[in-house]
Amino acid sequence: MLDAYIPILAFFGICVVFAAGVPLLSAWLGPRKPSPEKSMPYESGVVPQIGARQRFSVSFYVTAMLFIIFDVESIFLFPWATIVRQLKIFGFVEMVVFIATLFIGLVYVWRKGAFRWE
Amino acid sequence: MMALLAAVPTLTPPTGSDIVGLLPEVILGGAFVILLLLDLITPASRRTWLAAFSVVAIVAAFGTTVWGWFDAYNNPHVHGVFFGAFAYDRFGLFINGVLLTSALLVVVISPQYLNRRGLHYGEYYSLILAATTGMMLLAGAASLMVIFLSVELLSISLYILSGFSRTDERSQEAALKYLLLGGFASAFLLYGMALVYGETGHTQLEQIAIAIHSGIATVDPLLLIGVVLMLVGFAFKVSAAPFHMWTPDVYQGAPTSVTAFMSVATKVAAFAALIRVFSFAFPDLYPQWQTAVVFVCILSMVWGNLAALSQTSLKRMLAYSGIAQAGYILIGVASSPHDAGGTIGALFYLAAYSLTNLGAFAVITIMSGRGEDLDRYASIRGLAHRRPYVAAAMALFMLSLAGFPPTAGFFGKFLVFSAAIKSGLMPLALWGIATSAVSIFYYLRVVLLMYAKPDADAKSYEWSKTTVSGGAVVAFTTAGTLVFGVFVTLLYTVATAAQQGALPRL
Repeated sequence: MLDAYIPILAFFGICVVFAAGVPLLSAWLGPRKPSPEKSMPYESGVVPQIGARQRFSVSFYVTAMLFIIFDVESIFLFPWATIVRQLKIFGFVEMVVFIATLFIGLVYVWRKGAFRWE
Repeated sequence: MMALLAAVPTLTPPTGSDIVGLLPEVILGGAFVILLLLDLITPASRRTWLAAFSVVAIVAAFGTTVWGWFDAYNNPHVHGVFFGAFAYDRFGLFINGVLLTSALLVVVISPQYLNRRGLHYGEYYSLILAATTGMMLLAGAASLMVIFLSVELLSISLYILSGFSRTDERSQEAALKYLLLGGFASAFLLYGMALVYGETGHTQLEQIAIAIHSGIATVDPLLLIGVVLMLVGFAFKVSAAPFHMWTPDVYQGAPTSVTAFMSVATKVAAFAALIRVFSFAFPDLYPQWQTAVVFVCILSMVWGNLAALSQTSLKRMLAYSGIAQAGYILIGVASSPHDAGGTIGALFYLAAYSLTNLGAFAVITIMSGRGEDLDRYASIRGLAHRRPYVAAAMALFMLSLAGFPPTAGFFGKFLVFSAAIKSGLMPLALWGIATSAVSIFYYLRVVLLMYAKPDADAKSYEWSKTTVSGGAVVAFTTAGTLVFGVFVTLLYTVATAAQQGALPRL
């Protein structure tokens, strides 16, 4: 019954061999001439000013999370918009409930000062 | 283009009976959203109002639950609402009642404790309500999708609540640990559901039971793996060994009022789902899953009780005791398909355990000092000489957890052990009795410490004054533990009715 999945098993096997093989091959064949410049962190060719291991403001994460939330909202909105007429009034009400819930969340984070950048 | 349009399924609006079946959850969920907005306009010094609002919402939800208890009985032909995705039955409503009582008691003891620890934020109440809504949905869930969604709703609220003490490293560690391990457990649960769905072709428990019963779905390894993975997911939520590793650290690190809530409410809700899935959707797989449940059950009883012996913190001791108690309730689950007494015993045990354990945590909560919990054994030494009533209540809770008559805990144990014997699981009952004997040691140790003479040279602990709200909660839980231990039939009748009304029926 599981015969149909043999290609997938083979695929997994190839993946593992490939993933393990390429680094080994590169370590074996590749030339190595280390220099201080080469072991610096890569920052698009610019010489790093300070260490990379420092704290980031939590505001970045809040902004990213808010972006995701409203991004997902728009993902729901687009397919809904194409068939809104067939879903009739109930489909509309459902979406209003969804957006209203998100809106309450927006009011909440706004009043809590998530948009203040200081 | 026309073919594309024709593929749109018609949406059916929920009917009146759908809404009625979900009324307690709708009320509590609505209150959660309103509370979030109320918090924005409530001044910081008036946050006790938010607690009052939560109390009103919980009481309203409790009222509709009681009304539903009779309504669901009068409509025995209702096979769940929302196309059978949610069971509107006495089983779910019984669990709702237990959950709402627990939530109410926790909200009542919270404001003072939070003020003392400097954690009084409005989100606390919103999150308690959100978690309770998730638990109530879980108790009534009759579809794998609803089970997963409600598990997530309750878990995410509890992850935040356990890290509510933002400046306390212990609390942060608890939240992170709970989040990571909870994520694993959710993955197990989801993977199990996916396999069960793949084998039976249904997400609704009733349809799954029919598919297995009629032989449409063959009993093959994949289906059994799915069932076992779901058991792992639930065992994590009820903190049964060997999936209990998070319990002591999370219980100790989280603010005590949160620990009180999650130690009882999560367990009650997850056990409700466990019983509904395993004894009502997989009764035909009983021979297969029984072994796994018996294994988890014995391991929880032994490990929980032995580890509790060596604890020196009340919160950690109660965490290990909770693992052991999960084992006792699993005895009821293991014997439920053979004997209705198993489910009844488990329900009785859950209700008794919630009252007792909540009472014990309420005592720790109302005694807590400024900025710290006084939960070391050393800090309760001689409590009885300064606080005779609180110490007496705590002693009663310890006796009930150990299973002494005439407390509710005794009859919980009695019912599950006798169900195990009736369904031929004698070894399980013997393990239960043997491990309870061990547990008497560490429960009585707390009682002896409280009644011991306080050390003359020991630093005197600043136990907080018992206030009206704290005293009321302790009095209520004390009364409940005693009343259900003396007038057993009160709770037993209700639990029996809950077992008989459970959906899905085959």
